Amino acid sequence: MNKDKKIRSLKWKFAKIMLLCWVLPFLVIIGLVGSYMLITQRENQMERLAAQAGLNTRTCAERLNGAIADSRQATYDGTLFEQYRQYRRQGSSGERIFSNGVQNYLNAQYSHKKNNIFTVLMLKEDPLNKHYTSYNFGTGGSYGMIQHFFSQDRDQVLELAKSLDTAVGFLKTDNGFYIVRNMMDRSFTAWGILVSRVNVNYCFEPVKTAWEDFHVQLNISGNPFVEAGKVVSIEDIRAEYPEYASNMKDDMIPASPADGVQYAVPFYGYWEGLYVNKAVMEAAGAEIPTADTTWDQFLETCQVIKNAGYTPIATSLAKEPHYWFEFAIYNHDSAKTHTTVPEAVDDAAGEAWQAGLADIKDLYEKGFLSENTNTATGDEVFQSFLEGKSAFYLDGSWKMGGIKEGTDDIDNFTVTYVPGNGDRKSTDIIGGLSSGWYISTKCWEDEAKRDAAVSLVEKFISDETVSAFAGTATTALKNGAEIDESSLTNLEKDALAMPKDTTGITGAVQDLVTQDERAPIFDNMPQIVEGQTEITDALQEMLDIIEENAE
Amino acid sequence: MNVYKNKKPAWVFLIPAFLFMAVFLYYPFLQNIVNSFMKIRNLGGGVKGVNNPFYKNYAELLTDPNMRVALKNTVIMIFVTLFGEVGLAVILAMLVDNVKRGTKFFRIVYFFPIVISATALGVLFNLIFQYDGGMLSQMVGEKTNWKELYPLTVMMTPVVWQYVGFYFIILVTGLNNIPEELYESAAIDGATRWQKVRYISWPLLHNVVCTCAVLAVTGALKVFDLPWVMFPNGAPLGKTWLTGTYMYYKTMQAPDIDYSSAIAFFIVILGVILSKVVNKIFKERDY
Repeated sequence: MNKDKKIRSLKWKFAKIMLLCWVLPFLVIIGLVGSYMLITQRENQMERLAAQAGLNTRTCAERLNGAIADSRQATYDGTLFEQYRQYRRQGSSGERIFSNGVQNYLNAQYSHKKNNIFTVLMLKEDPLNKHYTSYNFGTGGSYGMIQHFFSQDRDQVLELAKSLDTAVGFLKTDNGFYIVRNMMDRSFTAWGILVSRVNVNYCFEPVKTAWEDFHVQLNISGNPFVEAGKVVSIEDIRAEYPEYASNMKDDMIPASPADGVQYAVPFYGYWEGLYVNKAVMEAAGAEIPTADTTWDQFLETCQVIKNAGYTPIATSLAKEPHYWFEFAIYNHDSAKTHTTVPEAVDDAAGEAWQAGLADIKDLYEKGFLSENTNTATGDEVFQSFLEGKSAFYLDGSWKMGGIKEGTDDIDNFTVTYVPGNGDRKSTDIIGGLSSGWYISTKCWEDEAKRDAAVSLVEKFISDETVSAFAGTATTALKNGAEIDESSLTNLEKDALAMPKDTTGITGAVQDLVTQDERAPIFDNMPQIVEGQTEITDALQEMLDIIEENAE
Repeated sequence: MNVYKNKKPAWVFLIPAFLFMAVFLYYPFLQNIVNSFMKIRNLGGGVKGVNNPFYKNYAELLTDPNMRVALKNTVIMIFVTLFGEVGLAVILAMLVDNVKRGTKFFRIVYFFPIVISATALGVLFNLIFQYDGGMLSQMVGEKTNWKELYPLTVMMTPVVWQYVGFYFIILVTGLNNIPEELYESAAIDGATRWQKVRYISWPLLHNVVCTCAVLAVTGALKVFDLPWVMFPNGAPLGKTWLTGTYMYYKTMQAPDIDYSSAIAFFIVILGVILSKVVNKIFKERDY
């Protein structure tokens, strides 16, 4: 019996040890780690939300304080009281002067304040008949609103004013939110009542939209706005403001891929261009392509460079086929049709893609691309360009920094247009103006905000503002960006000059297909140029994947 | 004393580790098999029903030319690792075992490549085999596209170079475990150095070599990092696909998740079969 007990107790001891030392710690650790992860995730989210909400609340408080301070100003600076004193001294003969003086003061003080819709000064002696008004057209104020105030809210305001003495009072009615203050003389006797209707949308909007702002930050993107009808087209804006965005080239204002309509006024972006090693060109006795160089002339130039023992085009089809892919296709369509993904191998876009890929194959077969293009990395071929072994290198505006860092002689490099073919002029470029200023439908439909929104965007898109932000990057400005050229390198000057003569700009069509969809073409580029994969097969494979993804 | 014969408590000790393995290994593995019959395009994307026919991906494995290249290259890689890595490691281990001084030095030298990351090695060998200005091109005095001319050799050389040290260490440890008395007796009997290797070292090292062979074969099926750094996307012209690199490509570069799941399952099946075969060939012996 005793022995059995001992055995059982030993078993229990084992079980206890196992539970305490293995299972329990294991479960506790898993539980702790899991809950810690969940809590931190939530906490982070809440912290960001709280910070955003806090910031918005502070902004709201500041705006409201501003409205109160503006109201206080009328009492503190004594201008109105002085005029009132003179009016009282002169009697009815001074009424016109007084009226003009008050009117001027109210207009100067309140008619441009964003926190104010209208302001009314009523004289205590006859508030029903002796009153002076000013309204802010920019925030939606109108004479009609003031009349509405007199018929609906004036009595409540007067009632409140009686109890205020020197304090400031607030009144919320169905029509609006008012700040009310008694105008006092030196003996602290009220001679008038100053009423300001607060622009609630402006003052409280930060709080109202705190949650909304948080959501938008995570999902900010142009097309969903367009699809949801949340933004106004430039055409609609111009119907009322004909001069809107008139400093921009209309052709360069990108249309939304969602419906082909122009909504955003472009700010600045990027361009893709053909970088040239001048020393190679000089050594080979070849001319640097210009805006007028055709594709056939470009091929001739490449042949001259090749004959001189240099590689005409530094490119890695194995790693970075996308730049040449884009321009090769562009040479078989136009700025208007370029961003069209084929729906069939033999539709217009499909034909353009086929012809473009055939051009790359042609360049490869003629020996114009880096000899190791099918195995080289992007850095390898770029180095050959910097070292003066290759003449041309196709890349974006961001590559200027790389060239600057990689060479001691930046003046040896320039950038020009990729020679065009067919409908595409050489001056039609690939560029991104994907960031721009929208005006929301909500704001547009609110007449109180419309004018202000248009003015704000016009300020942002002025030549001066865009130039300050864009530098040498692409802009849609008719006059080009204004920059202090004395501080620029020759390459940067050339880059700056290029967009000025641009006749058309389009985004990259490859951005409209996903990585997996374009893989049959991009990842098979060496096989395509070698003839191991038929161009039509690669294209068809891409279309099949697009179709499968769309299911 | 029955309490010590009772094995039940051992099961309880095993449960936490088993749970861990079940959640993080077996469940994903089973899910992977299920995925291979489904329609899933992107990683983390939704399932769009069952493939039609359900074995579509497995049928495609048989006809996919890239998969054929990957399989062929993987088989070559298996032989290269067996003879190149394990074989070379055996020779080096035997030689080092016969050296009286500097054993530690050689151990460190041969083991060193293992501690370098595969990405760094990839970059290093990329520079060695670089077309223009690479070490080899400079040595032969003209620009040579080694990667295009000898893709498999260029890809497998660094892999072998890196892993020789790993098997070398295992084998040297195996050799050290052979009792010194055996060699002394053989010396008294007048055995030559070669006879000591042939009749003592080699037979007693047999089981260690067998373990190395299994590791090498399964390792060759999974090899990914170094080849991917040097030959991404099966470059040049899809000649350098391996089962590992092709599976990664189909998961990350050109996502086709159900198909890559099928490749992954195929690799596991192949690994199990090949390790069985290797075990059969290098049957462990008792001495």
